[in-house]
Amino acid sequence: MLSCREFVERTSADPNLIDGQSSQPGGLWFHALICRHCRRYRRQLRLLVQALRGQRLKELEVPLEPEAVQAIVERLQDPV
Amino acid sequence: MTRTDHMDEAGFGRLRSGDPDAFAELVRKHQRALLAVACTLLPKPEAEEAVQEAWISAYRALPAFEGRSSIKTWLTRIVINQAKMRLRKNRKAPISESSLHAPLDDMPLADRFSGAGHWTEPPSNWGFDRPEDLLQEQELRDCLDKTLLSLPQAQRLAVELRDLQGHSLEDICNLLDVSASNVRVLLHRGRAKLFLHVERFEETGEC
Repeated sequence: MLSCREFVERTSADPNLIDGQSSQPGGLWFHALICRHCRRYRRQLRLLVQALRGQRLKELEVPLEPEAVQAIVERLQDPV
Repeated sequence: MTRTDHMDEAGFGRLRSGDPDAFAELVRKHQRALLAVACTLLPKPEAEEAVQEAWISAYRALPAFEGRSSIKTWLTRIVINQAKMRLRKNRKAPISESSLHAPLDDMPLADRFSGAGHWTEPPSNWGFDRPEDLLQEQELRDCLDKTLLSLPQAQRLAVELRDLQGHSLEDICNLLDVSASNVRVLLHRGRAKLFLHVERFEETGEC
């Protein structure tokens, strides 16, 4: 049977931890069913990644100052 | 994902023909994300220059862009290449080989398990149910920013691309020129370190 350490390694290595269908082979699924510590680890890690994603999205949504855009576009005409 | 996921053909045609307004729109849409990627490899002033150079490269290369990846991925690749060139120029390793290929058993939480792999020190309960509640404290946000900056470059880049910006696993493999299993290792290590810092902060109030 899967150990807690293996569960943690596989969970935090899962690229689909918060996006789409997380890959949950039978061993992982069963381990999560019987181990509350590992369930907590997975739940809190998801929460953390979702929080970081949400914060970064907020930062990325702040409109760029028109002068900054203009400066970049102007350098395209005169890249030296 | 292809260019048409985010841009109609007319818009793409305007871009390829060198329309400055269309290019300005592209800059508005992607500048902050590209700068965040560059900042994982370079100090901010240099990262800003690398992104500027990347825009110039992209502008020149746009007529040849075939749309085999999304324009976001294509721009990100150009930024990473520019940042790597700068690192080489400064005689620094672009991305440490050892950080990409180190063995999986070197893991941040290793001392929390018994020899049989069971928890000896299980994770504490942070007491949050919603992501927005977790980062309410400025001190914790600062702590996580600091921790992200302290991660080895390859881990930081993997976390930035996957967790913060939502690039696909396939795109990240292509962007970093590494296998899917290496990306998984990088994610595991980076995420586990961030987890440990939140846990310590929740227990002690210190980063």
